[in-house]
Amino acid sequence: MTRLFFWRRRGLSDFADAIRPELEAIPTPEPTDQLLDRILASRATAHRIILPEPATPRPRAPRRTIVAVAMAASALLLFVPSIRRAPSAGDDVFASSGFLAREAFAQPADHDAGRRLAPVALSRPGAIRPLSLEFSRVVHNATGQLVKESVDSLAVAPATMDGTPAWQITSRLRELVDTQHRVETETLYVARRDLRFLSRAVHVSPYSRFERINIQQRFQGDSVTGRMTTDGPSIGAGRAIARRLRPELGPYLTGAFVPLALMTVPVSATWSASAGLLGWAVIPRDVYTPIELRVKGEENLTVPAGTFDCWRLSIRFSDGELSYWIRKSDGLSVRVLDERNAATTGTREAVLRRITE
Amino acid sequence: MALPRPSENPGELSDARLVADAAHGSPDALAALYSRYAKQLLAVAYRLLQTTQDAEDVVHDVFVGLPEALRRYEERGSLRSWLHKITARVALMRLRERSARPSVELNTLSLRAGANTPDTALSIEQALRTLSPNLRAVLVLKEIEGFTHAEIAAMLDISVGASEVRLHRALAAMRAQLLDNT
Repeated sequence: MTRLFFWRRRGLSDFADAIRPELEAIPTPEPTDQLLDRILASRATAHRIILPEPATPRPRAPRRTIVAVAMAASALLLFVPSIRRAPSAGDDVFASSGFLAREAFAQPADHDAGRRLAPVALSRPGAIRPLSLEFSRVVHNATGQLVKESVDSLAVAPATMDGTPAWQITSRLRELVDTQHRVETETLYVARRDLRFLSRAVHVSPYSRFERINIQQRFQGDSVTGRMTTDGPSIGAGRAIARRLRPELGPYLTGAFVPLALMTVPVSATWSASAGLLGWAVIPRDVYTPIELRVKGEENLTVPAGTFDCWRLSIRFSDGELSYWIRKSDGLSVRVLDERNAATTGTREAVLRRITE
Repeated sequence: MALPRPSENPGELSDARLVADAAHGSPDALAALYSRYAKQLLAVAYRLLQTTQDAEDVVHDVFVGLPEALRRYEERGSLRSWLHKITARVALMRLRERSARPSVELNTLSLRAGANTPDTALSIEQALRTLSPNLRAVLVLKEIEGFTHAEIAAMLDISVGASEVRLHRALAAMRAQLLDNT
């Protein structure tokens, strides 16, 4: 009662101090040998769980710092009327980004190597269904330090494009780059009947020295046409897109379509196939790049969205390889891991966080 | 003739050695880390989830995923603190899953029935259980686990201000509960 009287009279911080010992003394369960046995049994059966990273607190600049930075910026504007821009990287600036595309197009495309595997057969177009997915994406540098963490989303919805029943597939990547949020969206329309591409729009904001870059593509026969435009800060750049997509390197996939593509493919323990990954097609180097997919094994994998029996695949580019996990039950993408440059630039990983159907 | 190897009891090895061995898949090292840290981690999970079954499932998931996670362990802070943060995040993920599938638990029901009895004063533990999961999470993470508001905000994907507000509300609700039942 004395303690309660004390609480009535004093502030919440005193109350917190008063109850902390009792909070800490609340009985908690004891670890058991059975739990350890369950853990070791799970490890022995190749059950793997992808743990989240310890949360990284967001930096919060003190008000005094913000004021100082603002004053310094004002001074710069007053005394340096124009700042020379860094030299542009030329044509390279208009090339694909996106989780998979950024990796693929970093390699010189081996277009003339010829196809070594049968094309991916998207033989079950009816397997695509309305759903939305969330992926947690993390980037570690070569010392293992977490340098980026973001949530990517992907949604499939029914639509109509020029009278053709279609699926609208929208992916959204949002990441923090040098204290600035960078957002990349791709909207792809594919025909529901045979999954052929109808149109595609990509927006990245900011992009290089531009406030935004916009890629509009239309697909007809073996051709992709369209236009690249940019927004601000000065007069935007623009270019026409007109490229031939070699049929023998198809089917073509995009960053938004990759996580869904294998839903339409009967995958087995010995399955392997090839496809082309479509770029923005603004510059010759970035039209498409061949990829090869191979089943490497099977694993029971736990990610934030749940525990799934998975096929573990490799996705091979012209001189590199990613590890890729799909759900056995329906081919849905569960995890992507890029460890090719672990010793130099670090690793990148995306895991399925949430499925809504 | 092979030289005799000094016998090594995993329970006596340093954290750094156990981390290295566990990261290479040694079940003995994993078991030694379990015996060293499972009690603390069960406590973190239990305080957030309030059921033994869920807390054990969280600790199971943490230790099953630990060997792969340890390959990324940076050794900048203590292992204990790193494990606590990961366990808290796994428990919070489970809490969110549970919130998405609302269900009323037996122990919560019995507690509410008990709270209506005039001569039953609520204990601190019971008062903690009556808090909403959002408020309880902040209270547990701040007052028991000792995380900063910035760390809690990152874990819960809320702002630092929201974490501070939730703590204030949690403490006010706890105090009101305890005073009303005296």
